[in-house]
Amino acid sequence: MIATAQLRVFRHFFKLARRDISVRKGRAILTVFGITVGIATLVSLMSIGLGMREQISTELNELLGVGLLVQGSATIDIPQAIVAEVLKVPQVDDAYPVILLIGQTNGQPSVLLGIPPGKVENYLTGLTLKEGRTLSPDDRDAIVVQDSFAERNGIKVGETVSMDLTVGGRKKFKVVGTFEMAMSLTGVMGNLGIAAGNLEGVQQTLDRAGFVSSVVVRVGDRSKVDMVEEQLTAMFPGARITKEEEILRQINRIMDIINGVLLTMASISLLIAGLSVMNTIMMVVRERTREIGVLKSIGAKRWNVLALFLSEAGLLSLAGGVAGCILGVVGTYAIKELVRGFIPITLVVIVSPQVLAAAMVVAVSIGILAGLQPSWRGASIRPIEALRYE
Amino acid sequence: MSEYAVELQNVNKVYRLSPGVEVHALRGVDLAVGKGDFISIMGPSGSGKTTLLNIIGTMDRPTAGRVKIDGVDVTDMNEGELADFRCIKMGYLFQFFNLISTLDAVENVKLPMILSGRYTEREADQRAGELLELVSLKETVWRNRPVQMSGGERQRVALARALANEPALIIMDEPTGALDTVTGANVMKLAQMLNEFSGQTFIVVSHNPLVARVAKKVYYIRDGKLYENPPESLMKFESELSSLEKRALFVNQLRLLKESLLMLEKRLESGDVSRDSYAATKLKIMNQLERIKTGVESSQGVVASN
Repeated sequence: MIATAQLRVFRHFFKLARRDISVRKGRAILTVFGITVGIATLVSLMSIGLGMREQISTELNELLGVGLLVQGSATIDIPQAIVAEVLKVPQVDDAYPVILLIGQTNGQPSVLLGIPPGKVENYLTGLTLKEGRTLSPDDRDAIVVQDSFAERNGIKVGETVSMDLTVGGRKKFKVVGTFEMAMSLTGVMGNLGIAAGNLEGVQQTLDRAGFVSSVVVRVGDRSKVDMVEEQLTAMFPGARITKEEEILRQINRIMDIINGVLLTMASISLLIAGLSVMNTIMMVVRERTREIGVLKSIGAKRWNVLALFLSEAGLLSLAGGVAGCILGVVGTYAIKELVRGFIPITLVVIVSPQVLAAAMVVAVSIGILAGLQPSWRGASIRPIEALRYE
Repeated sequence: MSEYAVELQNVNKVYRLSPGVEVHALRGVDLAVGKGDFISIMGPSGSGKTTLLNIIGTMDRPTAGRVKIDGVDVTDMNEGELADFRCIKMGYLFQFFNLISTLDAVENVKLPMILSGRYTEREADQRAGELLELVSLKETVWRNRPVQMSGGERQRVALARALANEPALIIMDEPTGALDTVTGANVMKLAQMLNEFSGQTFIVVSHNPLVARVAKKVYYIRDGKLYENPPESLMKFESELSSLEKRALFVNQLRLLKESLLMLEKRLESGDVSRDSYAATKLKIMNQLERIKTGVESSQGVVASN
């Protein structure tokens, strides 16, 4: 009975709050706009941040598969024969040797990849041949180059290109094909420009027959990765074994920093939103000081008045939250389109319900927290002082 | 149960404006208002009327003394208890109506009922209608907000609101102050009828002689003291001025006279006036100065003795 009576009181004070907002539409709209901008920023940044993280981890997954990378301590010092040993480990699905060398072509950095011809597509995901042919096991000095590499150096299929390599010095290769790669995190390497040759040929050219720089290990079952790592460590105590997960973790750490920066930016706009709510409630309290006195004279208690102003702060921030979520989603896709217009990257964005729900919680909490201090002050004014207020 | 609606015992109120500066708004006020009485309190501005009304209305606390309303000692109640007490026992009527601007007439009248927790929404709606009929507010304006109503209509709504929880005591602060004579008379007539038919106690503060005529008993307040008969000094010209205002007036006159004396001396030095006429004028000014100085002292004496 008492509960329903209190509920009735609250309903009436909530109505008062709603009326308050409707008689001061201009101010309400400005306040809501402040929160909208803050929340929209938050939603956009979080959606893009989440998208980036997701994109990077899927591409890394594609790139590395589920697996490990066995590397030596220096360049090209792993005996190729260990591949056969690695393949004997029961959980290993596939293992193949590669040589990865940084070099320069016409003063521009590039990457030379030596790889068994059958594994090129396994290693370079999203590869499609544009011109010429693919690698064959008989190739010696033949290479296929990434289109960006060919373009940058003005090379056509059939021509010869020389690379200055960190091992073996300047070497000449014959370009037999060009390929293009889906824009991805292969990125770092991809941007440098990849030239891929038959592993055996590269080994001969570099005079490192029988040695490779790393062994790519594919493990089909993700849960077995740790087990395989342990076995490989026992088998090759001197080798550096990198798990794909570790790479992901490192990337994630970088992503966390980026997200932190983005969230800081969003926090600043949210702070401003909070201040605008605070300012509005301060003004409302000032304007309605006399009415606080009247309400108290007819029996309203402090918490009734507090509920009145907090309802107002809550309503404004709720409206700001909803508008902010809508604007945030629209903005996210707008940014995606905008980015596509400038650079050939498809930004992956993830608008998750969790982000929207979090944004709503943030909006309402900020509104109520910011409204708390002025509301409390208003609710604590003594009735006689309130009535005397001009 | 007490037979009194209001009992004040030796109520004092001191405002501390700044360290060392104190204003004694009420000095040892004793008052007993019987149930069903209709009293009026008259007095010049700054005399302590509003302070007295606020203390009776439980909106303010006395510095010393006890306050009993409807037999309940409210002196030591906390804010929450006072709010509940006001809600059920008190009805207020203010000079400037003090309706909630965003609520219509019915909603304004309903609010105290909802706050009391004694009425459901429907009961409150129905009773609000009855009360608005009682104060003869045209049904066409029931759904109007205060800005869409005339002063008289607003005061009727305020009266209906004051009556909402059938309070034992209705307190009116200059209820006709913002109304024209006829509307003011109507509101007072209504108050008189309510007092007679429902036996509610009314306490009115007003300058308006018409209000005093409606009241069954008139009290006078001056410099924080309550009198049952108008004090002698109230009948004089300065009666409308408080002692402080009077003193300020004297001080002003004093300064003016001192300045004329200085001017006179300058004119004598420059040869504008003869020595004889200077002497005659100076004597006149000095006499007047003397009279005012005595006046200032006596008005200070009032402050000190009170």
